[in-house]
Amino acid sequence: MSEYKLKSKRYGGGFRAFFFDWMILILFVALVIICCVSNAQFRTMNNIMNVLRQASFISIIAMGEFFVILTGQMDMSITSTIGMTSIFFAGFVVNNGMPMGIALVLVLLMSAVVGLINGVLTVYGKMPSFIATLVVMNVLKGLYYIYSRGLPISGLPSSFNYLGAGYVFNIVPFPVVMMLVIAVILWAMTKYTAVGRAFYAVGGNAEASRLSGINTRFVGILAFVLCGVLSSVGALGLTARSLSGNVSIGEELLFDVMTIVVLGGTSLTGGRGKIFGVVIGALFLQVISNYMVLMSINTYWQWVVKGIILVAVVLIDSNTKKD
Amino acid sequence: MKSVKSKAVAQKLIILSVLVVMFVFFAIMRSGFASYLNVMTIALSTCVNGLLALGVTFCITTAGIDLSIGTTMTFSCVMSGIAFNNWGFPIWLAIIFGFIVGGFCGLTSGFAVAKMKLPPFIATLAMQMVTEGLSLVVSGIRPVYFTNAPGYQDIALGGFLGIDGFYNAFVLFVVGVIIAWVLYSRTLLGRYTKAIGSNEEAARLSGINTEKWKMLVYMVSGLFSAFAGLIMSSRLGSAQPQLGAGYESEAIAAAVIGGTSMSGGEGSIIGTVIGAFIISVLTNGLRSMAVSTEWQTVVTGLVLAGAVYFDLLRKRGKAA
Amino acid sequence: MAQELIRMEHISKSFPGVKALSDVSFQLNAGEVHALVGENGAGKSTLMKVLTGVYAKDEGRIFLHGKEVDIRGVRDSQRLGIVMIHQELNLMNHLTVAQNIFIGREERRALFFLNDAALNRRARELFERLRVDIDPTVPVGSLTVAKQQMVEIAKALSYNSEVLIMDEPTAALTDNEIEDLFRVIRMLRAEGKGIIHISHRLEELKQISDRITVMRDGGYVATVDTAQAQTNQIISMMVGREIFITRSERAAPQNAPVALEVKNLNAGRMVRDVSFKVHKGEILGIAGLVGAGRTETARAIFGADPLESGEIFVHGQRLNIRTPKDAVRAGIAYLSEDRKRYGLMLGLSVQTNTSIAAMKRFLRAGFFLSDAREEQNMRKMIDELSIKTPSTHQLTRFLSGGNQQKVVLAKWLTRNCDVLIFDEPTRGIDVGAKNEIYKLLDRLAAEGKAIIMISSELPEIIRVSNRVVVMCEGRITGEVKGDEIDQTTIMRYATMREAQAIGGE
Repeated sequence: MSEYKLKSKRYGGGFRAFFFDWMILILFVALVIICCVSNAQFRTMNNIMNVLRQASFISIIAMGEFFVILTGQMDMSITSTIGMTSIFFAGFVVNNGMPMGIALVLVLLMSAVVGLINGVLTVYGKMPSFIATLVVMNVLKGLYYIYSRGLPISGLPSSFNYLGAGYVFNIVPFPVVMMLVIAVILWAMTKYTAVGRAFYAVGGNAEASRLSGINTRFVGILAFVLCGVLSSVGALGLTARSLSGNVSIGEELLFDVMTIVVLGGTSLTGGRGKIFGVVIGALFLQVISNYMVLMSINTYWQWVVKGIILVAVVLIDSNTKKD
Repeated sequence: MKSVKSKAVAQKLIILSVLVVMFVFFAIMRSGFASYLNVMTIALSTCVNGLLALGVTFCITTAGIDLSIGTTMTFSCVMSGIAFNNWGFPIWLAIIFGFIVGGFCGLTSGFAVAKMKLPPFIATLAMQMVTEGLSLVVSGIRPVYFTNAPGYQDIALGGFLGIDGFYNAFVLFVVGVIIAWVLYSRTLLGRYTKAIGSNEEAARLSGINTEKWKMLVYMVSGLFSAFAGLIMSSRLGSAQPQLGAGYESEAIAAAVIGGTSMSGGEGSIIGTVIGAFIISVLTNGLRSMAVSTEWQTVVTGLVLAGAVYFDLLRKRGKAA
Repeated sequence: MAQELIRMEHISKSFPGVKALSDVSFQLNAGEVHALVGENGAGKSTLMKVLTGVYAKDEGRIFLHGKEVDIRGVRDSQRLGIVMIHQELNLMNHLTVAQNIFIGREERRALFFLNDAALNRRARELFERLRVDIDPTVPVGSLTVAKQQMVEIAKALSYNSEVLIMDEPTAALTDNEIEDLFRVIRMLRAEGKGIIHISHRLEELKQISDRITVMRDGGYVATVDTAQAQTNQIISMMVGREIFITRSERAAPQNAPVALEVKNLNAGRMVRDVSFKVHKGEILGIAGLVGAGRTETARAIFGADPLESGEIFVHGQRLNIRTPKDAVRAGIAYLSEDRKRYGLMLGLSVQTNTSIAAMKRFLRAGFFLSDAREEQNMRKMIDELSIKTPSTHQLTRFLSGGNQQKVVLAKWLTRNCDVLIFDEPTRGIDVGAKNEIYKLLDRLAAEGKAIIMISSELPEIIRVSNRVVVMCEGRITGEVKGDEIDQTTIMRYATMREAQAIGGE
């Protein structure tokens, strides 16, 4: 019927789009090679495992933010979700003597509710997500400061430390395994489920999605809920590392998370991005931090560098979109 | 038709009465609250946040945002201190240098927003990271003292015309408010700020160079941040490189409470000033009632939520 | 003899693939209201955009007061005193009336301080001249559309313009407001301004204009004195001689069951008491001029906009459709006129766009999407609809307009929708691809789908429809069937308002 032959070419969008989609991976590989060659400390097994472990929880948190950004929204409240999880989990276990399993489920539920509130404010309240989540962030922060009086809650059972510092087969850090498992599950969801596809559709064109019969409100809210829960999972890992609940644990993370998500090739206007891009983005950022520490560069230069990276990536992204 | 103008006035009267009611409430609850000394303390704490809020009012009116105001404030006074201590600038030149740094940071954000078309939220978040990092790097995470500049603290804390407790800082704040008000309501900058926020395309088609004016708007925001930095460092006698992040929330809250619409096009300098006072009275009052700082955060957050919600209601009311 | 203001001679303008204007001449005198009429796409707006410098002309000359002028941009035309008031008003809602009028030309004191008092005074003078009651100090957003239009007129006058072009100025106004507008227009005419009035409403033109120029298919047809013109004569000039159109050979289905029926739909100003039915295997055309409420009707049926009242029956069953999801579930599909905004996710692949409305079909074990099944369906669609794409993973952005339209259609066929509402299905599609779309419509109808086609192109409507309902100002004004379908009849119904008003002639 069609005289036009289907080419086997699987990639749409031409070479530039192809290059941009994989640019982060190419850059990452280049970065790792440069670091390995130039610094002997960097290329030790120990250090590399360290980088992986440090990147793992932040990348889980970034995967949550990824879904929100994929639908074209923004969640500023993750820093507070992280602080809340850390404080309440430690509080439930240490102060109330709750079994860890129940405390875990409880804080995950609480984070889901936070996500639900964000989602409802944005989707039904029609508030700009940036403002709605900023408000939720402030209120939430106050609540867990009240609960903890701003003090750390230490004394979690040392078995919990495994979550943050354990090893699988005595070589691979447990957090890394956890990150990979979560990444694979989420990847499968984005690729092989209807709802996963709907995130892309809503971010790509919300009105067209609605007119295609997709329940865009549900999808919008689900993205925030996922973000809340995944931030909470990451926060539990961070808490396990120090074995104490800490109010300030998430405070500087929003920058990093935003940078990671954007670095991973996720479009800020929604509709484009990959889970594994986020993972590589997290590794990328961690390698840079690690390398700067090894070169004994002032840590605060990292912020400057990250700020510049964020702008550079968004810029390249908006330029590639113009065609 | 007259009702429209009176509505705008009524809106200001409403937030003003909220301020008065709050003040009276705390004055009744706590006897020391309405004392001259405490009122002066409230006013003094309003100066820094108020100046930041004035600058960000311009950005919000263009339907943008500036998240870097707090850290730009810190960075400009740190740089001013470095210029004074390490480079041997005379103090007046160091102060001017602080303003130049603040204006330059704002202009850079403005360039990223207007020319490079970055979302304001991202551009200024990046600026926040850069200025915060630079402040810490440049200062070596130590406060930069102005002890070698006699009279530097008098800029903020000296009594105006020798009146005790009536700090110079208020006078400077009032000067800032007047400058902001003139810019906002009486110059092309303010006019085009509102035009861009209301309908950027129509403004462009009316022959306005929207890119240039947007850059200037962010520069104004940076200059007001530097002004706030001057007051802040003078009050403390030093520039504290760790301070800064988090100040933007309260400043944005002040502007929104004061009736500046997040969707752009309308706002009010007087409203922003009242909004800044509401936040200070709230914080001071809650503290005087021995409410923990944590609850203060919650209350401020809820007040902001309320203000944003009213903004939305107003907009929907207009649409209907 | 009246003094000549503007003369446009032999203007031609082409866009890639389309000749938008060919050898058009137009003349405007001082103190005259000159109406410009024609079907949608006749070239009226293009001609005016050439005059105001939005488009550069390919050929032809423009004279102002008998002297040739070179207009290269809106600034040039403004300087020469030619101002166009667009249908979508270009105002800043939050600024006051006076601030809007003088935006970009503010008076200042000491180079720095705005002198709003002077702006207000000058605005007040303008309104006094126009004898309209608008307070220059209120925000424009608080005014009615009619008053906003007055602000635009005042703005135009503030440029000391001699020529005022108004594009469908009465479209959003009530009768009283139209009266007021006409009063102002007559006053400006008395002052010696030249006014070009673009409108579909022949009745109005009878009231307000001195001459009428008719355009068709990018060409000039005739200019007549309004006083001597007959409405019927103008209509027949607009549609032209009966061109031979190959009607579809597919006969209307006999005794086919009703697939969709709507009764007394109301939604806002643009959908008033609309009722019609469409049978299985039938193509129902909905004709009308721009702004007749056709798209609004389709969106209301589809649940995209809220319905105020009315009933919708699908296959005889009464349904309560509140969201597009309900409509899709009932098997109704809507292909919007603006595919890029309402139909496609341009940044996603062709395959994703095709399967997005029917994801459930591609689930394995009720949960996992099967890429293979999606691809299989996509290939089937590519074959059936002859979609030209290098691969199933091509980003939709890179397809041509016709192929993008086919992707939207593929989406709904994948969902097995059997009531298809096409809104301007051939807009922005080149001629060859148009024919393909017509054949496709015929085939879908032959397969038993019920099709509603909204189109502004009469030949298109006549070619594919079995039956045509015509809308005007939110109401259905007529229905024509089979051999009765011809351009003049449809155009008469489409301008029904004036047909009633001048019925006595």
